[in-house]
Amino acid sequence: MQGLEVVKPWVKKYGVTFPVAVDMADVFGAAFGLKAIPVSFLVDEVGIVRLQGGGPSKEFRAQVEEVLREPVSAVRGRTREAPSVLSLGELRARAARQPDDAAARLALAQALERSEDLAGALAECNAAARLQTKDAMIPFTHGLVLLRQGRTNDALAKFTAARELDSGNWRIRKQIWALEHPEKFYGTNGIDWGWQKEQVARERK
Amino acid sequence: MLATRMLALALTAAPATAISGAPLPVITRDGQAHVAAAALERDAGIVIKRLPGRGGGSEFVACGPSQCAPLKGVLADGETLLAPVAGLSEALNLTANLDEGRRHVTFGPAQLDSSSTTGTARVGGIAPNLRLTKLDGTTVTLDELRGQRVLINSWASW
Repeated sequence: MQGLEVVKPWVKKYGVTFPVAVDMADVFGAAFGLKAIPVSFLVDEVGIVRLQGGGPSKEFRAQVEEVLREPVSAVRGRTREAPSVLSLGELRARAARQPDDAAARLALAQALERSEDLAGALAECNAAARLQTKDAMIPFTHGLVLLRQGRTNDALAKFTAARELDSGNWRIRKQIWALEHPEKFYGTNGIDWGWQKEQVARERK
Repeated sequence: MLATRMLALALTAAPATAISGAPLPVITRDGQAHVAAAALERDAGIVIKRLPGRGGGSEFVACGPSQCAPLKGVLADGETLLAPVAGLSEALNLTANLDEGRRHVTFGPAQLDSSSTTGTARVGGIAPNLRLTKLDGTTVTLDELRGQRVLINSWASW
């Protein structure tokens, strides 16, 4: 969600060798219904989500190894078409056919963001917001697009609106914290976990 | 009620699915018909998978080509897993036709396309397909990785 400028240095610093994807429009988060990260999923050869884990833990690792020991199935599951796999043209067509479908407009917004049409993405976020006022992912996506345009204050307003709609969503909360208090995340001492604990207590009041 | 489910029902024209109509040997336990998981997978395209359960036990899920559902009543017979025919039929909305001696069962496709619910992935469900862009600018979809076991880790700098 934070772009190449954040991801690349981390990948280099930790010597990551597995494929890394950048997900500015939060496609993965929306599809997997993420409320908090870090999170890991193990998807097996059939396509079934077998495990979900938080940060690294011995127990999760043991569960992963147990699944990896299973004999490999020849069965392959089929997925329904997913918005992030439809082409931009297909998503445009779908939004044109179903202009009152907030989810279709949001999926188009995300695809426009991926293809660098930020103005188009904003227009679709606005359209989705007019149709659906309860889905936190609409203002959240809107905020991510504004952030890409460098409109930090406007983005913050959107993230705050998203947090109102989904107060249990830690991704939204952390995105706000990182914007309002960058020194607690990107300073020379790294992430200030103590500050986060205090902040949670402050927000509970 | 159980008997009704097991009778052959007239199928409306249904789209072809990967559930094949091969007859599977029935194994009776406690008077209930079961089929071996290996036979289900090999001959009917249905997999039974184990998920971590609460309290350290296991829960099972049955998956057809496009949907998964929790499956109760799975028995372990040594190394083999036995899936209850009635439970499977209900979980995956299949018709189950037993032959006269109740020695073989054939599963048929769902009458309605009940490929389920929301797009949100859940443990025990089929992962949604996604296309994401890698650092080098190329894209990858989850469907392309089917056939391999994939560990996905999602993180941010905060």
